[in-house]
Amino acid sequence: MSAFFSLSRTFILRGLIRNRVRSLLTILGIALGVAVMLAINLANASALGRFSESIDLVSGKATLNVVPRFEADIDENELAKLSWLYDEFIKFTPVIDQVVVSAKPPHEVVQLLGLDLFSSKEFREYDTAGGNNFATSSGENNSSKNQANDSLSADDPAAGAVNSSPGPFEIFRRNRILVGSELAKRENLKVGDNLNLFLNDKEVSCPVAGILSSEGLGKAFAGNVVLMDISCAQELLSMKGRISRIDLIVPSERLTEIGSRLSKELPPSVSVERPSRRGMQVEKMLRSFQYNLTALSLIALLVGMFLIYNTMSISVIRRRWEIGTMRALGASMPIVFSLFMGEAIILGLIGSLLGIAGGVFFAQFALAAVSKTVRALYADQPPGSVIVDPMILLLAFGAGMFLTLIAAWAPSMEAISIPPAEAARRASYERKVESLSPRLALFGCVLLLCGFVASIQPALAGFPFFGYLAAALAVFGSAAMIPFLLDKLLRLLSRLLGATIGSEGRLAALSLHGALGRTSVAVASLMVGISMMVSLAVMISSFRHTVEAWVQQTLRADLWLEPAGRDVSNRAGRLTAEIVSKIRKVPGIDSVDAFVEYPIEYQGQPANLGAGELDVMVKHGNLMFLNGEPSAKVLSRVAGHDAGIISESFSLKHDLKIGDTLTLQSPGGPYQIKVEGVYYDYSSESGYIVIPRENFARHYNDLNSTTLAIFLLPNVDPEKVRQDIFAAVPKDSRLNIRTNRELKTQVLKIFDNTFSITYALHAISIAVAILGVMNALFALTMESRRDLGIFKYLGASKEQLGKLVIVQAGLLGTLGNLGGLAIGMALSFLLIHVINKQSFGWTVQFFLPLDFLLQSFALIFVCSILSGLLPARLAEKTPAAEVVRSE
Amino acid sequence: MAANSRTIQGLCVKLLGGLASNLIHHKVHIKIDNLSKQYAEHKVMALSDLSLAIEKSEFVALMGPSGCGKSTLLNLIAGIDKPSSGSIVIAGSDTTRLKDEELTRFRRDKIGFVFQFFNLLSTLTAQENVSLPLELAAKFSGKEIKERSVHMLEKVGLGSRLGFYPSQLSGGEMQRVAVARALVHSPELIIADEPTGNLDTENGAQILELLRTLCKEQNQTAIMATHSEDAAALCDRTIRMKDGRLLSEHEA
Repeated sequence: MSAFFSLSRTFILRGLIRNRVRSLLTILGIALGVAVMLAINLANASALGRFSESIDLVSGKATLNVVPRFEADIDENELAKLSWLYDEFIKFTPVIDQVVVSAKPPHEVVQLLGLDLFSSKEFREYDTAGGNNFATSSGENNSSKNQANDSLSADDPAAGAVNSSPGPFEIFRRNRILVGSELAKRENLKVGDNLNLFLNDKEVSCPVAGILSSEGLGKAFAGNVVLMDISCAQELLSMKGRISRIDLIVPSERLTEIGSRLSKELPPSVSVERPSRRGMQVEKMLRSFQYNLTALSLIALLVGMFLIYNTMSISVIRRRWEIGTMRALGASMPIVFSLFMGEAIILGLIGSLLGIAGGVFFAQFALAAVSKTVRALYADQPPGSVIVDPMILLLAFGAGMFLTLIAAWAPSMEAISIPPAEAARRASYERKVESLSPRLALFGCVLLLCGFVASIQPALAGFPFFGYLAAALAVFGSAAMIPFLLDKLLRLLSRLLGATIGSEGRLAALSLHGALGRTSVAVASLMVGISMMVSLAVMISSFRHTVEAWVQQTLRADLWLEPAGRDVSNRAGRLTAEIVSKIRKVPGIDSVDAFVEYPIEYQGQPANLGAGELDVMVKHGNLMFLNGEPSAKVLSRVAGHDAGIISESFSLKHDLKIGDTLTLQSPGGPYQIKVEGVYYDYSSESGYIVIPRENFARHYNDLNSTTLAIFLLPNVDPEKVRQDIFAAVPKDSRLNIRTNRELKTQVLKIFDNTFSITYALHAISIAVAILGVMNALFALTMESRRDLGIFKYLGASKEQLGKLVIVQAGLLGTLGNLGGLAIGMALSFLLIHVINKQSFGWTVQFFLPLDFLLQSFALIFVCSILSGLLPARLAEKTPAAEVVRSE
Repeated sequence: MAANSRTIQGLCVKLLGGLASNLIHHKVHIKIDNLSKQYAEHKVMALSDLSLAIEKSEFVALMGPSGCGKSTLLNLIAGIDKPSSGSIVIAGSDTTRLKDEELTRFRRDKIGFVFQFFNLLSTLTAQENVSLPLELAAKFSGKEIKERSVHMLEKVGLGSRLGFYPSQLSGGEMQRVAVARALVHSPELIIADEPTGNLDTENGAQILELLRTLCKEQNQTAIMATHSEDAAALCDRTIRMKDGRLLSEHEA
């Protein structure tokens, strides 16, 4: 053991310091990999954690919820049916829980809670600086003004205290709200100010009666919360007689008993569930997205792993002589093995620790990007800060170290397999690689074949496990084929370069060929980095082009109208039937498709139920159906029947085809829909079921709309109609009307938001690729110092040496680029046709972003040359006598 | 008459002297005058005030204990290193006054190296290693390079090892490749730094014999640093060194 420690100081530390540029590049590679993985994981966990935490804070001590089953809300008369609970000493309270948006840009998403401030005191705390409870003070004991005062903060929202100068009963006045301290801070609100909110198609001013403290309920939804008295909330949200849910505090031992009695006594339109279920639903909805993101982030770590492998392989090759000497002097195999593993551990340790620091730093940006995607694709979510979970830090550190050890394993095993006599033969390793290359290539072919088989397997519990396995097999399989391919290619290139750029070109290719092991590792690590970049670029641009084509094809209406609140985020925004009928009468309008959509649950999974006016859709619409049938033909089969069409992702998720029947729940009981068509849709991952508007009205008794697609008569100016619509609706209506072109732009903007985290990963992949190039080239040319010294002895000029190194660098860059392009294409096929298809259910047309790829390749080629410049300069200055002697 | 005969005699002496001097000047291939080398970082005089002349086609052994300056002298002659003072004239040109580029060209065209540890490029085959000086000279066609290098390897008895990498060759074979590489471009001067130092007696003797035969055959001058008296005995002349200077015959 003592031998290990004394040797580790001289053998490892000195080596790391002597080759500090290479050590630094390797550490950076690991750090970047760990940082990316950590940032993504922290962002994922924070996005979900904030959601769960908010749900917990809002639920407070409630252990059961009575929630609507088919509709957005429930009848408050259901409360009367719960009077028996008093006899059981079980407390219950009604709640209104709605998402609204602030009218002021950037239109923050705000959770509006309407609470019965008298009965909800047992349920949740609105902590104050003094620790008092607002509900206790203002509710149970109306005379305790002092306590009420404690619950409402002074004018300084940052103080975190709660005080209300207008008095404790202010909150019971119309539209009065208590505002979360974070929201108050961002919107610069004081008691007495107004917070303007978009509610459906209205902008409403809500006077601030107090600022909630940053603890308790005020902490929920990152402080983006407003609290109202429930009756005021009902009035404000036009929910007279309706509530979002009923919260109950049931002792844990009586949960089953009370739960089943509630289910029996309440109508089928409501269900009884645990508060944690909502969190689980969100988690389920985001799972696929988050797993995919984590898996993508792992690619960065994989590149880091190749960098370690590269560094360690070269370290072993370089020290064969030393290893032989040490073995001859009696160093045991375990000591030699531990020395090399020790070197890797030091690199991995520093890299992982730096990665953790970087990851925590980048997590905030990743969270912003993830939130954008979640908001665009899944659910309204207020911004929040990163929750630094020590377990995730530990996991990232563990992953960094684990991959480091895996990467160092093979080179370290190679080190101990060197017999002392063999070690003196400088290039015996290279010859070994050369002779092994056909077998390695065969192994690579087997891996690629396994990858192909994996790629045609179905998803595992909704997660494209085999798709990712296929991607990993493609990477490792191709890497295993590299020595064989380079063996053939470099020989050919040496002749080609000899004929075109002269002997330096020939020698550069020959030297790379002679160092087949080192060259292969360098090309492979470069290739992996580039393939990540290529695959992400191809995936993103394919997606974008598909969505662009889809938008061009399907969005045909001249004008699109929706309530302002919904436009900026609020998924619950609605237009009343009266407004819609007023709009229909505006001159110049040919027809209006009033579309309504609801989030529903189908077979335990979230989905969307939409209803449209089929006659308008038949006349104007142009949905693209998977089987190529014309839109009008499919829709005419749906009209007048209990039938509908479903989106591709819904069809894939639930394995439903044309002719199948699905059962949906409604307040009037279950009803069936026959699937008449499956259409392309990229707006929702959970999928759509679209039924005729009249069927929807029949089943749900709902005449509200969410979006209007307005088709104009020929030669009518859309701008004039827009103005006429504004004139036709009530003055306080806040509508957003977009022309066809504006909507298309908006859809692509949403697309870019959805892909913001992928764009970030893409940028990182370019950095990783460049790091790989630098590491590989620097290591390789530094290893050639002795050879360059001999060249000098033999009369090579400075220019010749420089040219030799640059040609080598250029060759490596080009080979890495070509390999990266090939694997990147394979990976992008997997990402588009297997991984995304299985995760999200979207068919994406393959598109090659030639301009981007050419630019990236040029960038990487230039970086290769630049990475070769420093070694080339060093080569020119190489003191030949010294180098040849010392080596 | 006597004066006449003295004049004629004097003339003859002058003529003969001039002839002899011309003859001597023509024969001297390397002339080193007052050569000193001090390594700045060590402040050690590696060579001090050394003067030496070597004739064309002469095969000279350079002997002396380790650290006496043999390799430094060889590197200075080869133009790998620069002297602190003094001059080295090879085939009429003072190499200490040459610019870097000229020195490189001089080394490429006029000098062949054989090292103790062979210093073959492990990434190139035997034939590719031998081709190197021709490749670097950039004045031969690919075909010519191949023919010459194959021919040279055949001459050193390795015609059957053309595609072998250094790691696949024995020590003796590696040194033969090194000899072939040193001679392939027909340089005027061969510099060998302990070429047998890393070989057994039999292989060492064979390499030395090969080197000597080929040098004589091509009329090349050779300077060989060695520790072996046997090796030195095969040379035309032995120069001995100690502490950076030459020893006189008396001192030796």
